[in-house]
Amino acid sequence: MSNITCKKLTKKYGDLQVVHGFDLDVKDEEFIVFLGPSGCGKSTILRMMAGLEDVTTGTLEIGGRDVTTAEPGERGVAMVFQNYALYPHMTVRKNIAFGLRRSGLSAEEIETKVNDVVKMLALAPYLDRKPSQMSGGQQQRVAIARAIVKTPEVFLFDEPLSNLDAKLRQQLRVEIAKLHKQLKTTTVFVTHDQLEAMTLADRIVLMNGGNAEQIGTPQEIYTKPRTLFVADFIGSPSMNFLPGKIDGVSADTSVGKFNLGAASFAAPTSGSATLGIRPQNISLVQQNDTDIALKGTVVFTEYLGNEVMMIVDCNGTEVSIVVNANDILDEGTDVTLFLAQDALHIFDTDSGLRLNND
Amino acid sequence: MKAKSHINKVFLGPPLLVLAILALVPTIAAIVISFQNKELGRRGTSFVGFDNYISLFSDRRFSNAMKVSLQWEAITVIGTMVVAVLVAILLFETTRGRTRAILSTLLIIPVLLPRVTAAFVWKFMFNPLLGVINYPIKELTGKPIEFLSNIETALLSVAVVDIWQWGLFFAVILLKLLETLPKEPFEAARIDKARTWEIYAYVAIPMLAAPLISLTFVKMVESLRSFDLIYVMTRGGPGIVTETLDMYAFSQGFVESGRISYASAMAVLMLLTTIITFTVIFKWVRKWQNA
Repeated sequence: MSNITCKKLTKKYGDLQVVHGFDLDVKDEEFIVFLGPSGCGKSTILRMMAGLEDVTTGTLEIGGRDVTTAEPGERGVAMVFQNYALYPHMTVRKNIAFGLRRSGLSAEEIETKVNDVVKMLALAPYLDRKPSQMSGGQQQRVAIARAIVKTPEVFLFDEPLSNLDAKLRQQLRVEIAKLHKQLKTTTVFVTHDQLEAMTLADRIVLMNGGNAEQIGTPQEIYTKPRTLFVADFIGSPSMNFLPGKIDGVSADTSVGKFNLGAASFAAPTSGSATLGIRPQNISLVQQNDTDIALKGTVVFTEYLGNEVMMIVDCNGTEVSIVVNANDILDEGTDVTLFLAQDALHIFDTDSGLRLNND
Repeated sequence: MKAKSHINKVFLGPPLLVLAILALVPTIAAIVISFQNKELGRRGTSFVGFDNYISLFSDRRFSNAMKVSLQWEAITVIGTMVVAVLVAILLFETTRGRTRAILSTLLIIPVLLPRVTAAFVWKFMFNPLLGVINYPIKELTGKPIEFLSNIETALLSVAVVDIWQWGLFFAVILLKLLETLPKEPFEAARIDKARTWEIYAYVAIPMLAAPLISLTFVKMVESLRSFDLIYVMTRGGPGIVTETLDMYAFSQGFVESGRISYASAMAVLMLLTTIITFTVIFKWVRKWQNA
């Protein structure tokens, strides 16, 4: 069992508090992704798990063992860094074996373990090279091999794909996913890339300003964003937001007044609400009688291949939509947009919380 | 391209000219004199071929000077590098920010002192009657240690001064080099269960191999030029225990017998030995680094 339990973790640098009472239970074999903008504290929490940053208050357990103040080497974790952090003067073989040597394994045991990992990651041709003689992707594979070879209880990844180009990033992402299926080691993965988070995670921890804004499966986070921040952060292009007031079922927004009779939500305490709808949920043809119709003019189009993203000016508010590439319209064309009410997210503008009943 | 090669000559010309006058002329003169039998205070010289060189090989004081010079090189170079590495790591581990900056400044002061000044300061400190070092020794054991006139301690005591000047200076350079290293390999090593000494021995110091080798070369060249330090502190004594090659050449040429030609032969031999040794070591190190 190698679950991770964070209880009320905080981190302060002098007077600056960067993590505010962080709670999380990572289950054994789970793949957790910390997602958030830079400076949200996600890397700090990961580094606290690794023992590279002191925990200011709170407790941290790995596999049921309190490791709040344990040395990094005694936590049973292995870490992969953004810039690989290989030992530059050592060959690939020595890099991978370094940790095993420190734990005092016999030469034969080290040899066997290194060979297994090398086979798993197809690193055999590079064994006698030094890191500087390899590409970034190869270096990161070595770093992953160095982590795997120790058969740790927990893998920690600190933005491991951020320094790679798009194609390599995707390749290595798939490789990491496969390795996790195979090894089933509990993993915590930090990224600011929502695609990585959505594809890799069993559960995503969406961080903002040192707090967990929402913890849930990728599907939950996408379909039921708990707050305005989550709704804005997840999804590409970003969700459209229409600020306004709600009284009963009638909404008065920047793009006009309409009836929300088909949506089910709690009344906002202050009366001011923000309607959110993803660009993909807006249609150019009416699907339902309850669809909200908005008139506007196409002001910008962006061809994406099989889809097209268009920005439509509706009464001064820009609404982005994503439709099939065949439905592309010229800039300047007048259109009517149809917003499905069941895809509508309603947020309390003051608290930022989602009000839908689902 | 043509203009470029022209400008090379313009810039290289003056320094090469100065170098030719300052270095080449005395060197050639020394080589010429070493084949003569010139003596101070005696008129008339003639060429004697390799006589001076041949008699050097049977001169036991010369072979002693060779031995002392080698000992001096070994002690001061190794001592300086060991002190530099240890002090740099100690400062890197235990200090930060302002404290580190102040300590770094203090550690540079010894090397800023002129050698002669440093030599006199330490000569007084080693003094058996007045020296601050001997004061506690006298209190404890009842009699002082005559550091500079004892055969066992003389060379080491002079070396202490050299290491004090250069070891601490190199420590500051190394400290700054340690600061430039990326911190992730250190963190990776901590997660890999490396103890503090292992992190330095297997990760940090190897990462600094190239600058450490350069510093060692600098110190090797520098150690060859310790004439003033030894001259002030012991004048080669007691007896000839601290008499390095340059000390012996100097005393043969100017102090004892004025045998300029004999001293020149020694200087030429030193020059050749140095050039050959350094070339060999340099090539060997480069080969090893590329492997």
